Amino acid sequence: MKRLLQLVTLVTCASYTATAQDLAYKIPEKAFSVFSVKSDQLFKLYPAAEFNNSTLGKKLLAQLSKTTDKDYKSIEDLGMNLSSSVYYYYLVTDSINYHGLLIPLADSKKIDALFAKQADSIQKVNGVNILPRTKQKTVIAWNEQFLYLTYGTVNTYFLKDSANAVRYGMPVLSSDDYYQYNEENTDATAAPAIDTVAMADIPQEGVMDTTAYPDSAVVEMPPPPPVIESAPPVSEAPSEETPAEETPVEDVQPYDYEERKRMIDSIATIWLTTATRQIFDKRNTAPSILNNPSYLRSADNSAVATYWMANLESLYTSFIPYKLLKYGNIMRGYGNINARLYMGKENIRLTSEMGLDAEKSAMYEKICDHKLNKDFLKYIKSDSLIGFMSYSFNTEAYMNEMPKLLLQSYGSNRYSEEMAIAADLVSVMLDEKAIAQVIKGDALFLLTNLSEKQVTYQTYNYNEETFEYKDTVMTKTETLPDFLFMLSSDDTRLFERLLNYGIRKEKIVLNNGIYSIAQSKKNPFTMRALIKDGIVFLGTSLQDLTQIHDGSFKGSLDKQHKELLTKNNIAMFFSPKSLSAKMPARELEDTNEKISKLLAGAGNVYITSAGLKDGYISGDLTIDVPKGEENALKYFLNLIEDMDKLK
Amino acid sequence: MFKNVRFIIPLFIISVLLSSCFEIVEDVTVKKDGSGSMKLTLNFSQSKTKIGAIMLMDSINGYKVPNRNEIEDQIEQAAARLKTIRGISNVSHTADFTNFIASINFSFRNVADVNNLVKELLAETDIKTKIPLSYRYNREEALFSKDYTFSPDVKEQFNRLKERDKEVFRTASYISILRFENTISSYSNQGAKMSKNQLAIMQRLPVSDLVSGKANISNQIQLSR
Repeated sequence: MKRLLQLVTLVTCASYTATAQDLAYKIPEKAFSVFSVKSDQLFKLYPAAEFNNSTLGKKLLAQLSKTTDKDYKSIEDLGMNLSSSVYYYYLVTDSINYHGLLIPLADSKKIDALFAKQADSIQKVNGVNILPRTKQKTVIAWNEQFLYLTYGTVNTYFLKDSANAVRYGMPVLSSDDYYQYNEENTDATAAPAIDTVAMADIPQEGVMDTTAYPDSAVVEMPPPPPVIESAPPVSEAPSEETPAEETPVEDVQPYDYEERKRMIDSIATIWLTTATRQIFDKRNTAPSILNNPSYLRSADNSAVATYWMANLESLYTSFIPYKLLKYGNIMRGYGNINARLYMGKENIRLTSEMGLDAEKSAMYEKICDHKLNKDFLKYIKSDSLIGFMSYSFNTEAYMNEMPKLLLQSYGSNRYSEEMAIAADLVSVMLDEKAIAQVIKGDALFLLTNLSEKQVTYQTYNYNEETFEYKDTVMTKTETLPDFLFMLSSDDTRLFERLLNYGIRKEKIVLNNGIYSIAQSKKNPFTMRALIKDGIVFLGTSLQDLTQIHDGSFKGSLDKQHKELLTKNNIAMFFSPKSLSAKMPARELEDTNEKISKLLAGAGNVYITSAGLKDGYISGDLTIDVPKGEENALKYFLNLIEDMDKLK
Repeated sequence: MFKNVRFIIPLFIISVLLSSCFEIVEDVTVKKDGSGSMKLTLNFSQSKTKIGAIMLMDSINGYKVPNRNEIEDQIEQAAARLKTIRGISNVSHTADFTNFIASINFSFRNVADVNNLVKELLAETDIKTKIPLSYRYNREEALFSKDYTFSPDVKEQFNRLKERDKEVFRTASYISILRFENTISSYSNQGAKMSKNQLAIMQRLPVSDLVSGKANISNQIQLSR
């Protein structure tokens, strides 16, 4: 027991030190989205030495050497720490939106060398090198541990506000140009984070303020609009007492676009520089994105890359002008989104999730509460299948919940009463039960084969005597896919009536219980339909449908397919290998042959969605790594190279 | 949503497997006085499976796929425009959306009207290229000439196409038929073929040979007087 405890302590400490190096704590708590790449995972799959010698690696290094005028022989020469994570984040504030990139460093001297030419513009503060680049609206900064690159876009409406304009020494624009940002910001469900920079003291140009930019103070700031008592940032700008009209800035034409742009860019650089210094000063005890449970859910160390985005509702409200918002919020109830990419020896898996609020969860739970018709499974031949797609949702629940969903999205605005009436009207008019009897909500589409079919076409027959020509019909062989579609129905009368109507109109022929729908312009296949045991069958193969009709069809479902179909609300499967195997030799010419080879070597693809779990709906995309390939990353890179050769 | 998804896989396979091909038929009848009629036919019937599938989609390879109404509108507009051109009359057109065949017929007062038509249409579309094809008819000498000037621009554009797209032009055929009231006594292009009654001449070649400059469709035809 003691040993066990020792072991636990050891592991915890080890993982603590591991996370301490991680730069996630530098990401602001209010970040809007975060993307991370786990370099250690990547280079485990593709060791740096091997990468340097690969085609892609060589190309990348050559390109890098060319743009930087340096000679890079190895990815390690970049100075990056290849065993730690790289982060990108996006932060929305009222004044400026930041894009930040955090790259851990192994050798900062390499970075020093890279920017040696710009040494004059680099400011050195507390061991941090800061290189502001006003034109590019970026700031690059680094110390021994990491490099931080930030890019910012100023929200133009912020500087159009007269109070803000005066504060930052900008010309005041006329009232026509005001954007209703105040209205929008105050109405938004989640107001954008307060600009941390605007809060802080802004240093005079050329003077390095080495005093504090305390993080804690920033976070505890009251909600917007921020009030700043500090001096204006531009050194030649007037003091606050001077009315704007008399300032030298007024000399600038208010609509001198270039000048205004230049001023905004210089303000942006000051803000970015200040924010950069805050990032370097930030300690791992300060509030950060790590305080956000939904972010932590997404941050899986075994993933190669992760993505997280704050909830959709706030995204929607922060981007859609208030004017439109009052008509409804279609994103209401939809929460944060995350995606994780895993690369293993056997497969590549991309899993994504979206959070739902309690009300939406309850609705989706009811809608997803439906299983695929077990009888479908009898008609699958797994060994020869090219692909399938299935879905199963509860039609009745969907019909019942739909008006509520609409009401949630559009109901809390000035049309709420009308929407409520409309929702009730829909419920009254539709007989949800009757509809659910006809279409239960589950269906399966099987791509069973490729077969050669005779197709007619029109061409001309020329008379040798006169060269007069007549239309003639010729036939040619085409390879077309065979498919079988199945739909559950407890009340098939409607389908029968439709098919019988087709017979009366002479578009459909009924023979031995199987309906044949002739080839037409919209439909290159001769389709067959059959209704049996509460299943509507629609397919191209007469043989299959005849066997289903007689009860002599012999299916062979494998375990994997069964699991995919029975455990998910949506499942898709595609086997490039069996597609390639079924391609007729006639088609294998020139480029088709290359495609065929590519397909034959590709792994199976699956897409699944299994409904609701812990208030999240999720979807998975999995690609199998074919035998012979070492791991997913190598397979993926090889595939890209092969595809490149196709052109 | 599911309705669309259902089509994706078969469509993907169709586009992988089917190479499309088409026929262009240019049928010109010239009377003794230089007037005549022309029928242009575009026949995509051999590719109807593929086109039918493509037309179910909104876009392919980044190109928007026009729907039936849009195509009909375009043909209508072209026909309406033809009617306004000097010397052009009896304009009629057909469009068959089962076999994907479109054709346009018109009469001209003089073969020069056809050259003029091509010129105006090119000017309208802002194509700054020399007219590649023109007709001349010398009534006194009973000499009809079809002049085709190969444009290197076209070849360059053809060479820029991907192999797969080039294939479409290789399998496509261009058929030109010229009909006269008098018998043909001689013609200059050996790639062409005369009808048994000596009143018509036909040339058939892959469209790719035309755009790559490999084949020539110029022809001087001497008619009996």
